[in-house]
Amino acid sequence: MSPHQLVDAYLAELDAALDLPIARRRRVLAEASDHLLCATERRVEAGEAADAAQRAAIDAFGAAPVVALAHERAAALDAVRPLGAGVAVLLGVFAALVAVAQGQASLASGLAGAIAVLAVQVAAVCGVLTIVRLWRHRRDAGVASGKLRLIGRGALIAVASIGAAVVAIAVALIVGGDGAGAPLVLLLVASAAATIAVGAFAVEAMRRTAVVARRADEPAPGDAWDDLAALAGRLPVTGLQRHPWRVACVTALAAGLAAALGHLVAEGPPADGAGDLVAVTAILVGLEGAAVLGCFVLLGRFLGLRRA
Amino acid sequence: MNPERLKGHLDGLLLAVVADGPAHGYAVITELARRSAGAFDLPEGTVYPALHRLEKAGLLASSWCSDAGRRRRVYEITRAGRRALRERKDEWRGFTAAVDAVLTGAA
Repeated sequence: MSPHQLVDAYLAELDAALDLPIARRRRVLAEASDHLLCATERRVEAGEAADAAQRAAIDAFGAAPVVALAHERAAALDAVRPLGAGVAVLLGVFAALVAVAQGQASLASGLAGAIAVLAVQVAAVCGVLTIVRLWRHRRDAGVASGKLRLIGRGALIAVASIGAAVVAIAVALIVGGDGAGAPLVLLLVASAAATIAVGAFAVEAMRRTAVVARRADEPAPGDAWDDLAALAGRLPVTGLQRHPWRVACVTALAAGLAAALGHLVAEGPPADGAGDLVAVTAILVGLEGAAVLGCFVLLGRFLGLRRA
Repeated sequence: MNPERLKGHLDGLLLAVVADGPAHGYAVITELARRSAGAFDLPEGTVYPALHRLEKAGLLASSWCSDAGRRRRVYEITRAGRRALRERKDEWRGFTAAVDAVLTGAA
């Protein structure tokens, strides 16, 4: 029979409570075991009975769920932190792919082109939001689990939209049969590989943060305006969170006008005069604005763009 | 003292303890309790994630060793850790001097 039955029972409880990768779990248990045995020995040397010494050592170490949560929070933070660099690289590779693919006739119109245009915008917003949030909390060891989840979600949506665009571009090139040069193929492969790699990290980060969120009793994590306000310092963005729908409408209008202007610069003014110019502008502003508002409706709460 | 007050300071305190020489987790935590006269009443087991975090940040290094038949992880401070400790000490002195000046009306 072990002379440290209480410590052994505690370690078994801690083992059952820990949701960590195997190597990390082994290290946590080894250090906990050494700590508790050292503490017990010290107390026995000071004259305490063996059982009382074990109980006191365990009490000072902390309840197993509390200790497990501290380690799981650290693991969640470790899983989320690399997403900033991963998303930045993925956005860069995808931007290069879009730039090279723009000249392809099979992408100039049709579903693949539309998916790519939408994916660029969604990925850019979600990716930048992920990077901003990670930058804001870069030295913060106690990030709330809710905020970690928002960061993971942003990365996951950026990855998913880029993945959809990569597939759409690849299918359009194969079906269109207009040939793809080596740089385009290389960028397609690089984008696919980066999407899979960052996606795997994002899924693992989401799993880790979900474990902590289930157990931790924490207040709501705030919204994107808190993050932007913290990053922007004195810029007057803090009041914007009181009017999320107004901000969304203005953003949608601005995005629509930018899309119309981009079209005008790329294609030149319509040949049939001012009437067509107004019609084309109205259609583009309407489509782009509706897409932005649609994304805000669908993803606003999920990404913390507005408070839950 | 409320453990919440330790937020943001625990890393510096751990670096200061380990800066005196390599030590395993139990020794680090008991030394922290001794120096603070037990003022920081936090579960000892929750200090280990902070040690791991400092190691991941390159401020501490650790290795397994065997003592009396038990495996134990020994931590030591790195050069970057000593630099970080100096910065934290300077920050803390500046902060406490400013707070002290306000509280005592010395300025």
